[in-house]
Amino acid sequence: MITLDADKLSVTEINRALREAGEAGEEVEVINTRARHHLGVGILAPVKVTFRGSVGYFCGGLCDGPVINVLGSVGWCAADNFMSGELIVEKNAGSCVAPGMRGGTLLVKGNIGSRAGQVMKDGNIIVCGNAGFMTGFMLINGNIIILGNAGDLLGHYMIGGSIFVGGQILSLGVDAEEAEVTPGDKLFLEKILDQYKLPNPGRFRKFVSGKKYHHYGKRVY
Amino acid sequence: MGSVKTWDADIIKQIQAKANSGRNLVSGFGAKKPLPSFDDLTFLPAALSRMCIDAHKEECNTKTVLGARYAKKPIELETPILIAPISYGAVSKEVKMAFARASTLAGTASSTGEGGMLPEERELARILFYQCTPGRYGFNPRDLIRADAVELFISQGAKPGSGGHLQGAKITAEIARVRGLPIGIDLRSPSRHPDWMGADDLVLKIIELREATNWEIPVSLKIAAGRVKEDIKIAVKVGADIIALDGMQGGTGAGPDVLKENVGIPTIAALVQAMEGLREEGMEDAIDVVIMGGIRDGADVAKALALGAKAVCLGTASLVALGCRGCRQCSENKCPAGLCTQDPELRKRFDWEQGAEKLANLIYAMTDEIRMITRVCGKTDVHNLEPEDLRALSVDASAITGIPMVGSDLVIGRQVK
Repeated sequence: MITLDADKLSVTEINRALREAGEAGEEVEVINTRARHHLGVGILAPVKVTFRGSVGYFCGGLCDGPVINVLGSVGWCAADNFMSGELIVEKNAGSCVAPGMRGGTLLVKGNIGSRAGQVMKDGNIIVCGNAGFMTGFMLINGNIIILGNAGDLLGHYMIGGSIFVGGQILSLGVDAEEAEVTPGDKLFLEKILDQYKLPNPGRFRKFVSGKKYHHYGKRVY
Repeated sequence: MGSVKTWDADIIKQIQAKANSGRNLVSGFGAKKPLPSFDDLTFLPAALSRMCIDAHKEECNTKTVLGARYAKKPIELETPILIAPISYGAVSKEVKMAFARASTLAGTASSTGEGGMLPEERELARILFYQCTPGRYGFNPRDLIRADAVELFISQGAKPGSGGHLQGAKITAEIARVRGLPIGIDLRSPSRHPDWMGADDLVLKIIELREATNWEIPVSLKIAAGRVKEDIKIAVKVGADIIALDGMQGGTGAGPDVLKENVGIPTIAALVQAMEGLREEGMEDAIDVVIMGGIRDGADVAKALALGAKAVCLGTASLVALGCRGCRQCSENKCPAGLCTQDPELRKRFDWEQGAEKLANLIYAMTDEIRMITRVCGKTDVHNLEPEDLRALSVDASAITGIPMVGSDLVIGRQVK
């Protein structure tokens, strides 16, 4: 285990060290994170990283393969364009998490802000608490699993993918509609919740694209 | 039925098409209406007040460096002419390969455009810009680190403020796979990026891109021309190395006609506003301005350089060099030249290696035209062209550019002392 002290290194030096550790197959912990932005950006190896404290914007951005644990909260845009691996957040996450995500899993054990999973192409976002406004805006593929409640405009203009909600929703967005939770969905949810040892709320509602905007139709109002 | 001009054949056709379909019209290419352009300017040649440089024999520098503001590895080109970003999806794989090969032959750069980086184009292009667009279609950090520059696409001159359009006929299984989309949907890309909501966030987004690329490659912002003076000040402030400005004459593979004809400002006006904005901040040399939108020949490029641009991009002209006939069916997947289509039969009509040679020829020829103009203006470096070398041929051009009318010292709209 390598220990990096964020009080003594710049973010660029930390990210470079994380990449080198990934190549060497070493596990890394970063202390004194003090909510710094851009920690864990651009890691393209399956390195295991623990941030011992909260981190700022873009944590785990532009990554392919790492397993990142944040023992605190993350700022906006965590897991930006995440390709594979895991980003596990012990507390809360800000807005716009996992934009353009293409694979892997983002698990937030607290709440998340607005607009999670915009233009997400694949992978899983799991939120143990509540999710804010416009979660799954233009979701293209992948799964968003919310164990708590969801805010307004859930799945606004979603193109594909699935949003599962264990609690209440305030409102659906344009072209999001409720669908039947299939036995395959139940199996998938049980498996992934079990994998991360998360409580299963027992009953989920599923939301998918109504596909009304898949083509430039006529009379759109 | 009113005057012939108000109700001409094109307007009648548009009304009929909207009445039949119930939706706005989407087509390829750029604005049809006449707009102020570089044609409204002329160069003043050297004679006695300045000595001529031999137009054919003496050296004239065309080397162009972009992105030296913060990037450790700025882009070094043999010419100030780049190939514009056009997406894989809007055009075929063969066209992307031709662009890449042509850019290498001509000593310049090409760009991925929106639809991800093709392995073939990376291999063929010596210098490749990688576009990061709001939809993030095909965007991959592994490709990012193989890029020579990264460009955040904000908006496009042909349809400013609007996201991209790609009609279902062109979203084949292959395009859907690369972009991560369902096959056959009519795509409306988002207008805003998913991870920044304003200039303050954009600062952080740019740093993220720099962190992922070890602060080595330039970061460009591509912006449609609107409130250019204000936008460019923000581009400087957020830390971009390059601003790529796309004027109203810019083309597209698919765009709403109502936006193409009625939104944005002409390329010449955009460039003037950009330079004025930079001058107001004392930042003229802080950021490289790359202008695009209706650039057709070396004279257009020379005039753009004289007005302050560091380089230009060729979009529509590049496609014309490859064989585009201007039929405006780009969005329909029926391109008769086999360029703006994914139809395997139509694509066979295009020989990409021959196309690459032709496009490289065009860039060579245009670069030679810039050199000739530079020399007859008495200069030996294309980047030394300046507004003082120009005069306006029209009242409009003088008012827009602040350049005196030909045959006088009068600048339209400026107070005479």
